[in-house]
Amino acid sequence: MIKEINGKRLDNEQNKEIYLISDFSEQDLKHFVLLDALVLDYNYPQACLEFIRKIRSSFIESIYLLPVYILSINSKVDSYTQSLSDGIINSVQAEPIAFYTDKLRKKRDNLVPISTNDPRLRILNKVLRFLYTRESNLTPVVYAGFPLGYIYPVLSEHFQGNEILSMFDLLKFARDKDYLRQRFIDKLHLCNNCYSAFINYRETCPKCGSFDLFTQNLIHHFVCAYIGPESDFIREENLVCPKCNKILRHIGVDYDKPSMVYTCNNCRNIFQEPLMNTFCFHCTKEGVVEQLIDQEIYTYELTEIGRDIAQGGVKQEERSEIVMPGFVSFATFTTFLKFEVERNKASNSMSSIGSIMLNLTSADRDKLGSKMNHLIREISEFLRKNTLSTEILSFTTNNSFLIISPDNEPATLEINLSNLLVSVHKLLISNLPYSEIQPSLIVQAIEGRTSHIELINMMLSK
Amino acid sequence: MNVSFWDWFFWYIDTGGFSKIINLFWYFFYLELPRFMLLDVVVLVILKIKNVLGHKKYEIARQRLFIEKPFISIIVPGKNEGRHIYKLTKALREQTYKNFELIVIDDGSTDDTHTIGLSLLKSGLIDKFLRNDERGGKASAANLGLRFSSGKYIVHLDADTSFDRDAIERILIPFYLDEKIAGIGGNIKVLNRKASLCAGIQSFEYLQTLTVGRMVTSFFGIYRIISGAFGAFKKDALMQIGGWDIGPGLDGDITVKLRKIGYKVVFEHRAIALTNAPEKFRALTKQRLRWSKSMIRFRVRKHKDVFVPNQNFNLLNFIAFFDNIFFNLILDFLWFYYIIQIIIYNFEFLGFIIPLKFIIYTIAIFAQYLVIMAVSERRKQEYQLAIYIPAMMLYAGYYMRIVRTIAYVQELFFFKSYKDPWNPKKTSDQALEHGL
Repeated sequence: MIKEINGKRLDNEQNKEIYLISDFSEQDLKHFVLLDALVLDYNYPQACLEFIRKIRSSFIESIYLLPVYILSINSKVDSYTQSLSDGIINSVQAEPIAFYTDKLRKKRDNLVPISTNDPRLRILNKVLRFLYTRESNLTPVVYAGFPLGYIYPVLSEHFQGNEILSMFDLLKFARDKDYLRQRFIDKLHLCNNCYSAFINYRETCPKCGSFDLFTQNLIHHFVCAYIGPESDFIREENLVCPKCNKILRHIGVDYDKPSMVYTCNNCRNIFQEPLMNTFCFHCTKEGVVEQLIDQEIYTYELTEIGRDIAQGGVKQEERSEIVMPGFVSFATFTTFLKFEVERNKASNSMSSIGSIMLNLTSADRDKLGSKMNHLIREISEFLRKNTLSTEILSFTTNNSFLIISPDNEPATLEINLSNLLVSVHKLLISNLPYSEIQPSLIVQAIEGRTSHIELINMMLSK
Repeated sequence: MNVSFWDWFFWYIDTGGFSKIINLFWYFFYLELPRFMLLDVVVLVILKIKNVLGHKKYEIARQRLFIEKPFISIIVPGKNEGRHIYKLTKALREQTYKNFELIVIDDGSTDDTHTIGLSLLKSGLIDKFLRNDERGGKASAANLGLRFSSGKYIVHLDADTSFDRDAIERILIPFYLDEKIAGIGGNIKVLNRKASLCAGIQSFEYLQTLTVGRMVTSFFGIYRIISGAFGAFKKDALMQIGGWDIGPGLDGDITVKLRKIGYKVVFEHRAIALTNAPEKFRALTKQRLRWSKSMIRFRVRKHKDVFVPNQNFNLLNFIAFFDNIFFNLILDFLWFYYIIQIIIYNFEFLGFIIPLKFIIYTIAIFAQYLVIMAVSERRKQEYQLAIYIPAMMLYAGYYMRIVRTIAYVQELFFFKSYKDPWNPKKTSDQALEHGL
């Protein structure tokens, strides 16, 4: 029984740590690391969804890979929640879950710890591992609550708003590398402003742009060559030619409908080819069809290469890593951390690790342009000068600064870093005057219980 | 040979005088010369005087047109004419009269007319582009344009026609000369006269029969055909008669319908348009067979009521029909009788008659040519057409007459116009069933 968890432990013969959670408030995910499985009560669907999203958003392997079941008495669960879960149950049954947990554990045992500081690869590794352990495909799920109209379970958690195209880039990367095999599902036309697929297509008058139009069939009466809109012919219940007064009897024999005609209720313009305009329900931007972004939606299946990669991790491509003066490379930092974990395990002592994340958006990075490197150097210099010589510093490519503090407990490190964070924030604001940038920090204890990989993942998760 | 021809000639004169020559060529001296040559000269002289005297009236009408500046609709129906439309829009932009909308009607084209039309619509070069996905024939396409037009007057054009800068202005002026005028035919000349011998001959023929011939018929109020290539109509009048009826021959049909309801139809020789004539005799034959068949279909069959006093009798329609039927249909058959008669009774004189006939006709055509040049507004270009004079007797006297006669027989006895692919089968079947 883990007392920090606000839930009910479900007894089972295999003595697995399976918990039923009904109250989703004030749950600290950290405590779920040691669990074997979760059952979430679907009594509060929105809270349940938010909670499972939180689990799958984590970069901590023992959290995001945690088997999660949804308990719903009537088995009705929204598609989003369902896609993130391992299954729906309508009664509390711990034994089958324990059995599944075992199976999943075996898969997890094949996974080799991964250390990469490339945020893209971290997400890809996570998704590949999720698919590998579940032996499932990455299948898009229709979900109207998401601007794209589809969600990719687990993957979509990391790409919101304007980052949606990066998600497709990542999937393309995985397919190009042969990690994933794709099968066509759908083609979307996305708003070029907010990437929403919820577009209203409007036929508009080419003259005044109004979309208050009405359409009619044209009728051609063969005998007298009269041609006009259907309304010209309607007389009570018959179609009567206004030119020769003959009743139209048989389409294709004495008349036909060769085309349609639009009339604009605003300017009375008559035309046959309306312009097609678009209106985005999310950002309300109007545009033309040609400006929409075409995006194919596929189901992705792990290839053999993908399965290997899922176990071993996507190798970071060779690239020149910026190592600031007084800083160590990320690889060296990871090694130091590994040693620190081992040392603390052996000596049963505690030290701490922290990270300062700049949380720069792509717009911020664009705004900074060439000043970006200079700013990073300035912050590095500031941190180096204001930390102890025994502390080990590193910088990751997702604009996070990592620090191992061998002599400080987490609480002390947190105070120190909070002070530094204020200055870093000011520095950022002075370079990005109108930005709503908000750097953040995370501090964690380095103990024997948590592996260095898990610590890194904790540090780099937003 | 010459000596022998003149020996024969003087012997013929000596033995019977000129009256013998006139009796030998009675067809020419009694029928063709007075109707197509003397009448032309007389009318053209009168018209010339009228034009001079009526200049002020014409100028006032022109001013009235520009003061009122009515909105007009130019409709251009056609199938697979996309390649001509851009050029047409350019020609129309050059017009002195500019208050118009341009409506292009694509009658089920199978080429890229649709794409071209939409592109021109988008760029504002045409105002309305209407398309029938199912081809309905020229009449229905024109009626579609008429239905969605907003102008007070309708100008009907063919897409491959080009215009003098003042052509639209000129074709509208007669509406301000006489309130009763509801239809005005433009003067069509051949654009591609240098393309081939066939086109060159037609350019002479157009001046002879379309320009001068129509000036004469218009003078007498019996002008018969407002060419689809360039004609103007009062929209009210067109709506009253329900627009165009099923063709072929709808250009001639509409003038009859307008006269039947009491309107006048005139020819305006100063409104000049140029069009492409068939460049090969095969295509020309096909075109003329169609034109001639429509005479039987419309004048002999559909509008036969104009001959019946208590039905739709109208004196001008009656004279127009009579003139048309007599000088074309009846005289064509009479001509064959005349030729056979000459061969049978004057067989030994054929060596003399044929060259003499050639000389007489050539002189007459030359005289006509001089008259044409007298009224031509582009003499410098058209005087060269004299080179076609020697070919005209053969062309008009034999080739065209034979083509016409074949068409009359085909239509009179076999209703061939209803099988003409110029119209969709579905409409021809209905027209035949309803005796139209």
